[in-house]
Amino acid sequence: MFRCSGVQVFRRCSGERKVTCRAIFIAAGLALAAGAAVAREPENWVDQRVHQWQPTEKEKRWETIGWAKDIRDAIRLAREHRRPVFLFTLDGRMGVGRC
Amino acid sequence: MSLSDSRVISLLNGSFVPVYLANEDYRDKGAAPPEEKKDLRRIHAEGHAAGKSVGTVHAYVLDSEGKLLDSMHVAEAAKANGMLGMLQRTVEKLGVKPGAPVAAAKPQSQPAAKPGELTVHVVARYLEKKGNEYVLIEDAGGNWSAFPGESWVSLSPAQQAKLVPAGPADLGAKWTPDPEVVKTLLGHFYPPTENNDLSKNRFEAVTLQGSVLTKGEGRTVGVLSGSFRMGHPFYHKEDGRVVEAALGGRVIWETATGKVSLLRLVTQDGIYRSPQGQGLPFGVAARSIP
Repeated sequence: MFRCSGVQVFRRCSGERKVTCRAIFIAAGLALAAGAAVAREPENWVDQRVHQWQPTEKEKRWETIGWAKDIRDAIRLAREHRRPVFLFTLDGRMGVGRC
Repeated sequence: MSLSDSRVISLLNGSFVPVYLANEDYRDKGAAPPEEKKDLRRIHAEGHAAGKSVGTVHAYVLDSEGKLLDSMHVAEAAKANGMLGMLQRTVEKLGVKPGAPVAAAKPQSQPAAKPGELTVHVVARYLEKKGNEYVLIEDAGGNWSAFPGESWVSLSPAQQAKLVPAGPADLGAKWTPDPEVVKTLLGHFYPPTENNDLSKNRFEAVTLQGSVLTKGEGRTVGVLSGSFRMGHPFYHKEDGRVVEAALGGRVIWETATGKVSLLRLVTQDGIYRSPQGQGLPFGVAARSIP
C-alpha cells in the first residue's frame, strides 16, 4: 500500500512536504476504467456506498479529545485548571482531513 | 497515530488542555486574530532560544502560563510511545493531578448551514482492492492518506431547483442537471491530497443525467448517472494528475418547488490517475444532511 508522507503521522495531516508522495503513484498500478456511466438501479448500492464510506469510529477516535478553541482559550483554561497545554500545529484542516 | 491511542487520549483529556491549529490561519494573511499569531510566534521564539525543536508541524507542551516546556516534531509525536513519553514527563515534572476534561469533546467536522440551503456532506477516501471489491484501507501504517477527507457543500434553493427538472416530469422522463451546480459538488470529489484549492481543479468532462423513477404525494424521486474527469494536482503545482469516476445517485424533490429533500451521489470505479496512466482507486460519497 502507498505511503504518502513516509512517516507515521498524527492522524492524517502531516504537512511533511519534504517527503514526496511519488510512491503513491508508482506503487498502485491499478488501472480502472471509469468512463462508462453507471446503469444499475441505484437505490441499494448508492446507499450502501454512502454508508460504507463514512468516517469510521476508529478514524474519529481523536475527536473524543476535548479540544480548546485556540491558543488563548487553551492558556485561559490552563491557568484556571492549573494544567499544561498540549499544542499541535499542522498544515491543513485536521477537522475535515483536508491537508 | 498517537492521537487515536487510548493512553494518549486519556492523558490529554485528564491532565492537559489540548488545542490544535492550522498554520494557514497563523500566517500573515491568515484568519487568526493578531493576538493568536503573536502567541504562536512567541512559542516558536521560546523554542529557538531554548534550543528545542521548532517547526510548523509540531507538538508543543506549554505550562499553565503558556511558556514552552517541551516540543517534538510530528514524525516523532505521531508514535504513541514518543508522545506518551513527552506527556508523562510533563505530568511528573509539574505534578499534575488528573481530572475531567476541561473542554467538551465534540465533532470537529461540522457544517455551517443556513436556512433554506441544502447541506451536503462529502466523504472522499482511497480504497484498496480485496478480491473483487474495493474496500476501506484497513492498515496504512498510520499514514494520513488512509483517512477520509471531508467537505461540506451548501446548495441554495436556486441551485437545488437547477438540479431537478423545471416543473412536473413524467415517469421515466430524463433531464440534465445544471452542469455548473453539478460542478459545485464534483469539485470536492477528489481523494485526500495536499492541495485543497478548488480553483486549481480543471474539469475535462462532466456528464450527469437524471431519470424520473417515482412520483407521488407532492414529491418526485429521480436517479442520477454519469461520469466525470477532473484535473487535480496532488500538491499546488500542476502535475497532470486527474480524478475520474462514474457516478450514480438519487435525488428527491418537492415536485412543485424543486426543493431538494434528499441527495445522494457516489463514485463508481474512481481512480486518481498520474500522467503515466497509473493511479489509485478512491471513492467519494455525498449525502444531504439530514
